[in-house]
Amino acid sequence: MTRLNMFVVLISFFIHPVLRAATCEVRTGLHGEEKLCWSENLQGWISQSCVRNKSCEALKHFAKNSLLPKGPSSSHNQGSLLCQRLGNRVVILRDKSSGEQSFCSFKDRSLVSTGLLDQKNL
Amino acid sequence: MMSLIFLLLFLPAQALSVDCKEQNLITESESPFQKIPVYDQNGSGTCYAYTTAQLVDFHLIRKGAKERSVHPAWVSLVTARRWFNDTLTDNSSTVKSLVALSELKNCSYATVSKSLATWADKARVTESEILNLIEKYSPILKDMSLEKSSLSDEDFQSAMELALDDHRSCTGNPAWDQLLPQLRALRVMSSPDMLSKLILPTCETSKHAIKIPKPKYELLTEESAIIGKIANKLDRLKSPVAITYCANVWRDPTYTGLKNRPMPAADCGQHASIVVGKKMIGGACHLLVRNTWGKEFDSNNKKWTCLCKHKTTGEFLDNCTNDMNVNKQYDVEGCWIKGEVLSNNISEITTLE
Repeated sequence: MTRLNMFVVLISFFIHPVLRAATCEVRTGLHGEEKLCWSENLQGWISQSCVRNKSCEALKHFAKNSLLPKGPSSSHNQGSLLCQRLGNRVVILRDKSSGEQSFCSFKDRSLVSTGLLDQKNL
Repeated sequence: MMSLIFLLLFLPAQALSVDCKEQNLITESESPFQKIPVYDQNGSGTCYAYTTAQLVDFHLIRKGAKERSVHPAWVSLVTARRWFNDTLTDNSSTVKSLVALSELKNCSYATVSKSLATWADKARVTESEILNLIEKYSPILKDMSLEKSSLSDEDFQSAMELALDDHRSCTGNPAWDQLLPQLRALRVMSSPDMLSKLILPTCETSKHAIKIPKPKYELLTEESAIIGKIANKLDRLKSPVAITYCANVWRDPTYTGLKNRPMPAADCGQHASIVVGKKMIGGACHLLVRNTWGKEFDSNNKKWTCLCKHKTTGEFLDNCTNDMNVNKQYDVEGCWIKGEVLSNNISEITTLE
């Protein structure tokens, strides 16, 4: 790796905290596999595409910092309801041990876990 | 003489106390929960179906089944068919779905899952949206045989309109209006054909009876002995105890939803889950509740101490909290809810015994 490349990588690392996401994993939905990475900045799971493209819709949502009013309790996953209220679609993804977690799929198909969406809304 | 006085004073108190000896059905060796993942019911209100699927799979795996076999979506379907003439707005949805599954038989998890995948591909919808729609199919299922739909498109449309306007137990939420356009769009894209041509016929040829004990249901009219009852059942049955309770307790550890037992408060957020363990924390009995809202810490469970499982090694981390930032490496398997708080919010218990 040239010095210039190393410089770019290091600068990127410090400039954009999302790029620090090092832990990634594949989860499976009905429509196939999705690659997700852990964002240290957001402390949650997001699409790998958001690591490459910082203008993905999921990250834009958090950048806007716009909160929706908290709904009353119900038997539903609150993060999923929040996702629907944002006009997005909910997808269920499974890890290798079949554990389920719903994700909010934004218009550009970037994903964020509904748990993270919910936590950041409060 | 002194010891007699001591005994007279001590015995009644001991008799009333809860035996909260530590028990954990998730971490025990060869636990059936190694084969039953943490579910996420997402936007659907079919908590009772997820609760039933876990109760039955736990029983079957303990009896020797090699893998889980009950799909919550199938439970939702058969419950709607079996109990159409009844109402699911009362407190007995879990026991009703157990009865429905026993009577109408089971379609394997793999078969239902495969059919849902085909449906999702054809209609270009997500699994979550299909689960929402299946929940809303309930009012028309009495007219839908397992072999084929006997409904005309017109009948179906009007039935769906009714279904979409219906607010059932386990479903009422403020986002309903926002969800309606999605459901209407999905209905058009999916049509009853998807259900009648994909899931039902496939399952008709592969349905099988499941052997489960008769469910025992109890509506709890008094608050005082609830935790003792659950603790005793856990001890005796060594199986999960299904509870119907106020979901609000997850967000608000001080919440009391059953002041006017058995009528829950308006903001209770009626929900169903399973209790899978007990132990003393800080001098108080806590129950381990396995929820069906995914496997992460979020605003629902972050105020509680939970049981976590390492994503890679499978090692358990008990007493994990949201502050420990464990979502990266661990999954939340269940949370320890204070017994006293839970007893203010539980309205019924159901077990397989």
